[in-house]
Amino acid sequence: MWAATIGLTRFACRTLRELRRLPWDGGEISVQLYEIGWRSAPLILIAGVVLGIVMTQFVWASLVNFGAVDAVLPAELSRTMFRQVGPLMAGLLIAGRVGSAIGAELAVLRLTEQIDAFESLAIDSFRHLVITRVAACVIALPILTLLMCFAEIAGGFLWEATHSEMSLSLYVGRVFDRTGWSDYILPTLMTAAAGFAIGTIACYFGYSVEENAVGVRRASMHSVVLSCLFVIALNLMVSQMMSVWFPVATP
Amino acid sequence: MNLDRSVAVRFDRVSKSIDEARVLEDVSFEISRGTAFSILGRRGAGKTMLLKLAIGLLKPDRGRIFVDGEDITALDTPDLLRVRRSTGFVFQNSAAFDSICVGENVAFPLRYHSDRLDSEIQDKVRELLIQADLEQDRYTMPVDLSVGMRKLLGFARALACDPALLVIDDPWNGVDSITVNRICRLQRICDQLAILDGGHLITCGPPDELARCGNPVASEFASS
Repeated sequence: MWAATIGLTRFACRTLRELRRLPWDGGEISVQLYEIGWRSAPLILIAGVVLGIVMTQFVWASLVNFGAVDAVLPAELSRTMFRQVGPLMAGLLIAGRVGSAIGAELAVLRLTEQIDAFESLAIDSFRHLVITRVAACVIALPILTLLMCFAEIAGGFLWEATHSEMSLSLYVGRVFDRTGWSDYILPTLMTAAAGFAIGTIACYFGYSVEENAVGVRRASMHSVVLSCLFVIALNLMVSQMMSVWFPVATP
Repeated sequence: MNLDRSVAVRFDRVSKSIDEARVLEDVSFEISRGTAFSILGRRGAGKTMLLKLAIGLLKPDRGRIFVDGEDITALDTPDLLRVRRSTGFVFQNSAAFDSICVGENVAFPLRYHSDRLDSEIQDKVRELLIQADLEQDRYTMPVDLSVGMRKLLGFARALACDPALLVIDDPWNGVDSITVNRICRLQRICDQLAILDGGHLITCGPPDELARCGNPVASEFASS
């Protein structure tokens, strides 16, 4: 446990150091952006829409007895999505999908000596495999988070449209009624840090694996578990910062 | 610094352990330029480890290793990569990149290290694949090749950048006799023999000398 903590800390420091060193491997980063970002988009979209429907239904049922629920629901929903639920859910979904994939992929590359093969061909395997994946996670996660937030809002509209016959223009107008830039910027930027954490953790467990099939399983499992914990902790931290710096205005 | 330019590789009292178990103990030898040098030993004798030490994939616990006169045990990653630009390594299990086809495996180091045009790279790849008798499998994925063909792919990839030093780990592993002949066509295999036993290099010299040296293990290996 202690050795893994030290190892991960050193690995993260090396990743930060190498990220600052240019040039990046643009071709490989675009391949990883396709794998990590583009191919995660359907999952994010579907999960976002479903979550939007469920949350709208739940909040509507809770507020209906207080009246004027249709007037406040879109705004409250969007604020909750952008400040809390969107970044958290996008982070968790990507930690699950991408964290496990990167962990397992790098572990297999290590065990089949393909990482040694990169090194033997005078290719810096750390920059080629780790930095490209971490960079892709850092770039992709904020974009996927925004996609998730808008999908959730679209899900909310689907529910509203079928239950209260609210028009799209009215819904869109109300969605952005009480939200300011502060509601978007910090939580969305936070997801870049979450992307760094997910990419670094997954790469660490995959890149430093030493055993066979058990090692691949452990690399994949530890990548997901630790990435999810980091995403939750980061979300908690940012929400505390948000509540101090940008408190929610009461209607 | 070893300045003897006639020596391509020099091991100077190199020792290496894995999990408390000493695999190599005070191993010293030299490989001259232009020589095909073979290291023989029983399974688990540390041959693969010795070869990985030779190109800096592993670091020794003690001792120094010189490649082309440069002590690679003291080098950082960028300098080590620079030294490896002039070496090629054929892995025991080929270590082919399994997400790209045979042709792209061979083209990979060329794309990474040279400014050649794509047409020049394709010509070079074709030339290497013809030598390795893999031209018809250019667009095949490595997983669909036999063990012997993957070994040949490893040769072609390692030779792509015309290395000054070629390190081959277990050239005959899982390889049929026809492929053995193809590999021999690609590369001269042995001018000098070294025998590794019990973590020590017990003897080193031309194959016919080793057969007469009196050491039973060396005689057995040299005659086989």
